[in-house]
Amino acid sequence: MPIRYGICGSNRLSPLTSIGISPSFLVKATNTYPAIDGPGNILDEPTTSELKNVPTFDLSLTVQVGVSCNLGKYKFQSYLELQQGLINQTDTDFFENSQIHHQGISLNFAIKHTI
Amino acid sequence: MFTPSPEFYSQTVNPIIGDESFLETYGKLPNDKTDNEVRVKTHLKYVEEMLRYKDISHLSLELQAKRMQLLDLLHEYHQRGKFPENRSTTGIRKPCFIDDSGTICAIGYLIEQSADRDMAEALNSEFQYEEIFNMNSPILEKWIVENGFSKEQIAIIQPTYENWFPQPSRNSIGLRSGLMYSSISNKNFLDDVEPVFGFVGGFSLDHSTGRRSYFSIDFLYSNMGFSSPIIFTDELGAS
Repeated sequence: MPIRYGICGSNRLSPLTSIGISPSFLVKATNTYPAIDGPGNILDEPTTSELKNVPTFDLSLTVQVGVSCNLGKYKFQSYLELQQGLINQTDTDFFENSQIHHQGISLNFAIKHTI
Repeated sequence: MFTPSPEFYSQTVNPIIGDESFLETYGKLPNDKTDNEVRVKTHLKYVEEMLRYKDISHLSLELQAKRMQLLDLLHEYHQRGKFPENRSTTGIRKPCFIDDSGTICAIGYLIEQSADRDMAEALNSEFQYEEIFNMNSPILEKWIVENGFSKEQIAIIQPTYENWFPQPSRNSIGLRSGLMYSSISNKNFLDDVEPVFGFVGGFSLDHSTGRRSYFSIDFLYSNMGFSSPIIFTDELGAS
């Protein structure tokens, strides 16, 4: 749920930029671990839920840069969004002493309607 | 008598007489639901009639004739009903001499018809969104005098055009989707974890806090996974 403060011009074609924070919640996490016999044959690939074993909350910084095409009550936007996780995604069962953060970059398209 | 506050004039159809035309014609002030074209047309019609009944006996017959000719042109202009769009970024109603698509304002039209388009274009290049009283142009002053008007009368004719009146539409709702390239930090520790592409999508709500600034909150779902042939295969879904 990114919450951002941004600036976007009102000309027909305007740059847009925003900065914010993005709390996120893990709703699904699975681990598929192959069961292997002595000779190395894969017997099965059971999938188990890891939701209880990993952090279910992350907070990241987010920055958007893009353009907005403003046509009356509609805006068509295209932008790049960068995310840097702030919370360590490891715990006592899972690489406790390492700092691992999520990073992401996404290319987005959006259509917005003024109400 | 109608005596509006100074703030009122920043969003009225004319900086001199405000929305007097609308009030006199409809018995009430316009609001944010009032069609901009109706406001401009009402104003121009009102001003045309007002100027026709002015005592101009002090003017020469030639100037009286020129003045009447311009008022006929003004009548023709507002009957045609094609007005420029104010695309300035000021957030308030402003005059617009000639808009980006070439549509000309009332004063511009009078100049175009009585002098030539070049003069209107020249004034537009220097004073596109200016009010008449702020246009310090000798050619404009000369044109006004030569047609039997005063600068104040021309300023009274000049309408402002809708920008955001009286308040901008402050909220918007939208859909967004995209592709996400996702990775993790500390690759020295997990050097065999490959970055992956994922999907992100959802809807967003924006609330404008000014002409250009806004707050936004998105409700998104993203799906991504980190995989390792040695350690684990993992799929994560977050919202």
